[in-house]
Order: sequence, then structure tokens, then C-alpha cells
Amino acid sequence: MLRRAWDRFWFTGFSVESLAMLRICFGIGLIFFHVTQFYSFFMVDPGGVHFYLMEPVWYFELLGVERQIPELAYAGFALLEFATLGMILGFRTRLSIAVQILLIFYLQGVRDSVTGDVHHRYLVPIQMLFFLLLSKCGQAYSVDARRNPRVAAAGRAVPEWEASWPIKAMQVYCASFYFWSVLAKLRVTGWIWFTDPRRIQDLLLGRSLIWGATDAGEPVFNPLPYWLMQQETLCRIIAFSTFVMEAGFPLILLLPSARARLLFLCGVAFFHVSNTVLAYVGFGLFPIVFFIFFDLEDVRRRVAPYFRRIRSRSS
Amino acid sequence: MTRSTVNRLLVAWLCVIWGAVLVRSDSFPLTWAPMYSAWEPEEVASNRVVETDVYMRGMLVTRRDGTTGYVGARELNISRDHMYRLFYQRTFGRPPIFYMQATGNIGAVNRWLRGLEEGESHPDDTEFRVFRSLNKTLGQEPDDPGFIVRVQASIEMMYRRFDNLSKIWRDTRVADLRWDESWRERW
Repeated sequence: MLRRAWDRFWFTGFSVESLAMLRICFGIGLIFFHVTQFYSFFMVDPGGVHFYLMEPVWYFELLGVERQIPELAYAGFALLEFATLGMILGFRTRLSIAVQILLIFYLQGVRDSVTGDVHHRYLVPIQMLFFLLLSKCGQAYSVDARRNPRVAAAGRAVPEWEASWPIKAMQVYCASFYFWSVLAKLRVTGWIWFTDPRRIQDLLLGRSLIWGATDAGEPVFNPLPYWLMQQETLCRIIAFSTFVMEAGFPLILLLPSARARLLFLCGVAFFHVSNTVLAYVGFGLFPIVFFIFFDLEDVRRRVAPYFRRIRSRSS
Repeated sequence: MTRSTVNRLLVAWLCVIWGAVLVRSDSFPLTWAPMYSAWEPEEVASNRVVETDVYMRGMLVTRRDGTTGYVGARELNISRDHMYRLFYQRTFGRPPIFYMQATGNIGAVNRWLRGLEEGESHPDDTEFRVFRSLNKTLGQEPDDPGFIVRVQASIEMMYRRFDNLSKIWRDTRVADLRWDESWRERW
């Protein structure tokens, strides 16, 4: 019975076209996501000194990478966007994905090593890219399939189990990621993180003042987090709803209704966008990963006739 | 890949990602997702008064030959975010948050894995790292006359009690880091 449940979970639900649509939609999101994550490289002088990294990430220590080289970061970013475009188009798909993974490792490594920042925004995307790399997502809706009939034929022959497990693995990772964050808060700080409104007040206050403060101690920019920080009840609600959202996220894996999933994920997306506006947490575009919770081929099939009608009307 | 290979891969992958969570590994691409987890309840909120011009200008440094000057974002060729952390956090002895997250409320097994004694946290070498990064970026070696031997900065802090947010008081916090000649061994 356990075996059957395991097989039903991991190996059913998606087709190779679903994988390909995920590759395209996620890739389009990534084009913008990369910009939001690496824009700081454009604030340094490409001809300037090479900063000696203060806290190199583990793989830089292993490889002996010691400096930020702005020219390399500029070139790496440009190549990253080209590789993402390659993935979207399905042009040498596996190579495009592999290049993306390598460049994300490099660029994120540089960004996080300068003064020892730690950001978690690429964790889910990098796992998604890893599973797309292992999958046959390039065998449908791709330049590779158009140019090579053998690839197209192989794509048509991909069975359901082979197309499903990479997407299910992405879903499991994403759900786990949210669940781990609630575990981490409990392990490091305890229940008080969720029960004491000062946690949220402290965060909002600190973030509201990062652009400076007036003599009265009020922020010089964006008064909203400062106002919200003073509403103790709202801060309690925010802390509690963070717990509910993060602890309850894995339940999405069991939700059969696409509408229910959409509703829940809209709520999570609202949480991320609010965090970006109120606390400058850079997860604003993170919801691009939520494509994994839908069968995008099914969406395409439903939407396609609508666009066909518009096209025929206009012609 | 055959189906049984995929099964084996999935089991191995689940063991690895959950293993990272158990041992609190936050080494990309593994994580235990500790973002914003570290917090200590306090009655008083303390915030620095951020002044963009001041932190972008940087720290006042004294060189081995006695000359002084400022070293900031332009001289070090780093972005505003990085300069913010260097000035307000590292110069004031605050190491990256991941050290605190990794060892906060740590259990016996994880303490043993990190070689830490009861009550001990990650060894703090932030000051050394500040001197190493500044000097190496600017091409200075310990015997050079231009080698930075002292780093100073001051910031204004703002305080308020959580039960009376409208009442604010301020003071000034000073950082005064000095090069320790014993660090040459690690240079």
C-alpha cells in the first residue's frame, strides 16, 4: 500500500508538455528574477579595484576564489540571461540549464561573499533547475524538438511517470522550504517568535529606518511599515498568520483542487509582496516558483482557444 | 533513467535535504531555511540612524605611516548594500547573521559536530576580516607604509521602549579597531 501511495504521488499527474510549459513560464519569470537578485553588480565600477571577499562562501573557499571581479560579474550576468533565454526557447536546453546553474552559483557566491550576506532566494529556483536538467523538458515546445525530429519523437514517447517525478520533487522541495522556516524559527527562537508582537514590530521598525530617520525618529521614506509597527494587534495577526502559512504550506501537496491551490498561493504571493514593500525583503518575485503547483499544459489547452478566437477576429 | 534509479535518486535526495536541516547546514544549495529566525526579545528597540552620505564615505582609517583618510564604497568598489553591512555591522563587530542562526539554541549533536563547548558560540574573527579585506583590496601588505592599522567609525543610535514608542532617546556608538600584529600569521 505504501509503495502504491509512493508511486501515485511521484509518478502521476504530468506530461512532457507540462514539463515544457513549466520550463517556459518559469524561465520567463527567471529573466526578471535574476535582475532583482543581481542588480547590485551594476553599482560597481567595472574598471575599479577587485574587492577582497570578507566571508567567502564554502565553494569559493574550496576553489580559492578570493576577489570580486566586476568585469566577470557583468559578463556572467549577461550570459546568465542568455542561458535563461536559451532554456525558455528550448535551444540546447540541457546545456542552457547547466550554464544557468553554474552562473547562479558564481554570481550568488560573489554577492554573498563580499561582506558575508546570506540570502535564500535562489534555493528553490536552483533545485527546480536541477530537476529540469534531469528531466526531458526540452523535448517539447522547443527549438531542439523542431530542429531534430528524433528529439520530437522521443518527447512524444515520454511516459507520464518520467514527466511527473521532476515536477513532484520541485513541489516537495518548495513545500519543505516553507515548513523548514517555521522549524528554524522554533529551533532558534521558540514559540515567542510567533506569540510576541515585538518580533514583527522590531523587524518593521528596523527596516522602516534603513533609509534614515527624522529628528522625531520617524522614517524619511515609506511611512507604512512605521505605521504598521505601532499597531500591536495587527503585528500579532501577522506573526500568527506567518506561522499558519509556513506550517500549513505542505498541505498544498494534498489539495486536489487547482482553484484552492491558486487561492492559497495568491495569499502566499501577497505575503511576499507585502514583505518586499514593508520590510524590503527581496522575495517579491519569488512566487514565480509557484508554477510548479499547476499543470501548465492544461492551462495552455484552456487558454489557447481564447487566443485563437481573438486572432481570427482580428484577421 | 529507469524508474528504480529514479526511486533511489529521490530517496537519496530526501535524505540529503533533510539531513541538512537536522545538522543546520546553510551551505548553498543546502539549507535549513533559517532566514529571520534569530531574535532575542528586548524591552527596548535600538536602531541605528542611517546616514547614506556617511556610510558611503566609509570608515576613517589610519595607515602605518600615520596618515589618515576615509575608505568607503568608491575606494573599495562595492555596492551600497555591501557598504551598509561593512560600515554598520562588520566595523561594529557584528559578524554575519548566519553564525548566530547556526549556533542559536544549538543542540548537543550539532554542538559536537561544530566542535563547540557548552555555551560557546562561533569564534569571532570579524575584526581580522575587516583589516584583511580593506588592506588586500587596496593592495597593502603588513609591512607597507600604507597598510591600514586602525579603523574608526561612529554612528548615532536611537532607542525607544516597545510600551511607549513615541519617546525616543539617542546616543553615539563608536567603533575603534586596531590591527593586532599577531594576526600576521594568518595573513
